[in-house]
Amino acid sequence: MSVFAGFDVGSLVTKCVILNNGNILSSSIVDSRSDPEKAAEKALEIGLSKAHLTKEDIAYTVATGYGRIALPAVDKTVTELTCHGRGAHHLCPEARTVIDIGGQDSKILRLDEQGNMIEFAMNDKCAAGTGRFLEVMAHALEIELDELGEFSLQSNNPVSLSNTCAVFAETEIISLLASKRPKEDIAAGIHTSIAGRVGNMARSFGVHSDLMMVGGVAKNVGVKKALEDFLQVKFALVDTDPQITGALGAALLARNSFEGRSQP
Amino acid sequence: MKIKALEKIDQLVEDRKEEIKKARKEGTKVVGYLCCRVPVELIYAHGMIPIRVGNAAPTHMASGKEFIHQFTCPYIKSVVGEFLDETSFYHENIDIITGSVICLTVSRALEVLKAYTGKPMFPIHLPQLPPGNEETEYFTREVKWFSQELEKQTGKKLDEGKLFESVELSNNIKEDLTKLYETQSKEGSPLTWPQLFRLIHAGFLLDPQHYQTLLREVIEEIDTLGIQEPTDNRARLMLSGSPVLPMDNLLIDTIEGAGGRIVTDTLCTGIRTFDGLSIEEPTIEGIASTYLHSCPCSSAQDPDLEKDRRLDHMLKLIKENQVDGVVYYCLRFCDPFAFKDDETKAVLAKKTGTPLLPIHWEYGDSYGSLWTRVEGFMEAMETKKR
Repeated sequence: MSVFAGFDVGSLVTKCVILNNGNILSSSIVDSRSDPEKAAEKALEIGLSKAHLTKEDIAYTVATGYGRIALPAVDKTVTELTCHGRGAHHLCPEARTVIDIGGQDSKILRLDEQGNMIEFAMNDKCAAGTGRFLEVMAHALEIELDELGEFSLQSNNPVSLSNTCAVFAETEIISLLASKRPKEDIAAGIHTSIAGRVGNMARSFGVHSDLMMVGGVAKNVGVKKALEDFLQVKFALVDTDPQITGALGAALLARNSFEGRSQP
Repeated sequence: MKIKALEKIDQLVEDRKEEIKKARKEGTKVVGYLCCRVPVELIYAHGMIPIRVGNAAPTHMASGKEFIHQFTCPYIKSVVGEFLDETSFYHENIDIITGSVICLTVSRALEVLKAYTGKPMFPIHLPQLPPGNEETEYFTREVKWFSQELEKQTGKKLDEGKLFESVELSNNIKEDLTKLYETQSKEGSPLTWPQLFRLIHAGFLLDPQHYQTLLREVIEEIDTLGIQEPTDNRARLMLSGSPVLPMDNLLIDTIEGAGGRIVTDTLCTGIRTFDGLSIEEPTIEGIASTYLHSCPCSSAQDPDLEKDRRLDHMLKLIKENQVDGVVYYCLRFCDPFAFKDDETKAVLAKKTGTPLLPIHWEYGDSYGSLWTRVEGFMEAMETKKR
C-alpha cells in the first residue's frame, strides 16, 4: 500500500493529511506561527501516529500554503490555490466555485470538471475578510474563536460595522460594547462584514452554482450563513473538516505525482 | 546567457555620471524628466542633457513621504524621495525639471520638486482624449512652448541642423531597440527580456552616441551567438501596468522564478520608451505628432473601448509575441491602471482569450502572497494548455 502526505503550512496553523488510495487515513492540525518547519514535522508525527504508520511508509509528499517553501524535505510544492481546488473537487466533484477563507487571506477559485483550478481571485494584503480578522474580533468580545459562529446565530439584529480594517474594526467593537450593544449582535455584525467583503469579491468574479466553502473559517457557521445570505446560494455540504481541504489536495497531488499522472 | 557587452553597463553608467558633472561645470544644463512622453530629442537639440529620473524603487519611498502625500503612488514617492535626497546624483546635478503631464500624480510630483528645489520646472501637458485636430494643435503648442523655455535657459535659438541630427540618432537607437526586442522574444534567444529591460534603463542616462555604440555591440554579439536550441517550455508572458522602476526586480524575479518567461511588456519604463516613437519629420510639429499618436498609458481616456489605443497596443503585442498570459501590475494608488484591470481582463478574454493576472502591490508587501499569485497563475495556465 502506497501512502502519501500532504501539508498545508498556513499563516496560523499547519495541516497534514495522510492518504492512501483516495482514503484519508488521518489528519492533524497544529499551530504554525513561530516555526513552519517544526509545525510540519509535528503535524506529520501526529498524523502518522493516528494512522499507525511511520515516516518510511510515505511514498511522496507535497506541501502547500505560505510556508511551503520553508519545508526542505518535501518532494514537491504546489500553491494552495491548486491544492484547495483539488481537495474541494475530491470532497464534492460537482463544485465549480470554491471560497477559501484562511488565516491570512481569502480566495475564490473556479474549477473545471476534473477539479483543476482554472481561475482565481485573492483579497488584497490586509486582514479584512480573513481568519485573523475573526481572531482579533473574538478576542475583543472575549469569546472563544470556535464558539463565535454558534454564538452569533442567536442574534436577530446584527450591528453594522463601518470598518473592514481589523485594527479600526476592533476599536469600533470596543465602542459598541461600551454602548451596551448585545455581544451576539456584534458577533453577527462581524460575520456580516466578512461576508460582504468576501461575497463582493466572489460576485465580481462570478459565482457559479455548486458553490463550496473551505478553509478554517468555513468552520464558523456564522460566517457561512452570512455568506449564504449575501450570495443567495447554499454551500455544498461535506462531512470532512473544511480546514484540511488544502492538505488533502496536496496529498492527492502527491499520489498523482507518484503515479506519474498529469500534474500541475 | 552571458552577453559580454551588457556587463559594461554599470561601469558606463558610473562613467557617465562623472561626464555629466564635468559637462555641467563647463556650462551644459541637465534636464531631469518624468514620464516617457517627454521629447528627449528636443532637449539634446538644445545642447542639454536629458536624464530620466527614478531608480531603485523601495529605497527612497519612505523619504518621499516627507514631501508628497502618503496616498501617492509608491513610484512617485520614491522618485520624489530620491530627487530630494541631498546626497543623490539627481539632486546635485539636475538644473531643470520637466515631465509629461497626463496623470495627476506626475503633475503633483513636478510641483513638489519645483517647490522644494526652486529649480525651473516646465510641465508638458498631454491631452487625455484620443488625438484629433484640436489635441494635435494643443500638444504642438505645448512642445513649442517647452522648446521656447529651453531657448530662454540656454540663451540660444533652436538649431534646425542639431534637431535633425538629434532626431536621426534617436530614431537609430529606437530601431536598434526594436531589433533587440524582437530578438529577445524568440524561443532560444541568447538575450532575455530582463537583460533588455536593464539595457533600456541605461539609455535613460547614457550619452546617445555611446548608447548607440553599446546597442550595436550587443546586436553584434547576439548575432554571433545566434538563436540557440530552445531549452524550456515556459509560459510566454506580458508584463503590463504601472511603471516598473529600474532596479525594482522583485516582480520580475518572481515571475521568472515561478516558471514564467517575460517576452513583452507595455511598460513606460520598457517598450513604450521607443515603440511607435520613430519621428518622420524632424520639426517641433513632427515630434509633437509622433509623441501624441504613440500608445498612451492608462491615464488616457478613450470613450470608445473598441478603439482604445492602449488595448489595441496590448492586443497587437500579444499576437506578435504569442503571449500565453498577462501579468497586470497595479501599484497602490496608481489609480489609472487599477481602475482598468477588470476592463482589460474582459477585453483580452473576449478578443484573444489571453488570461490576465491582476497584481495589486505596494513596495514592501508580503513576498509570499505575490509568489502564490504568480505561481497559481502559471498552474492555471498549465491546466488550460493540457
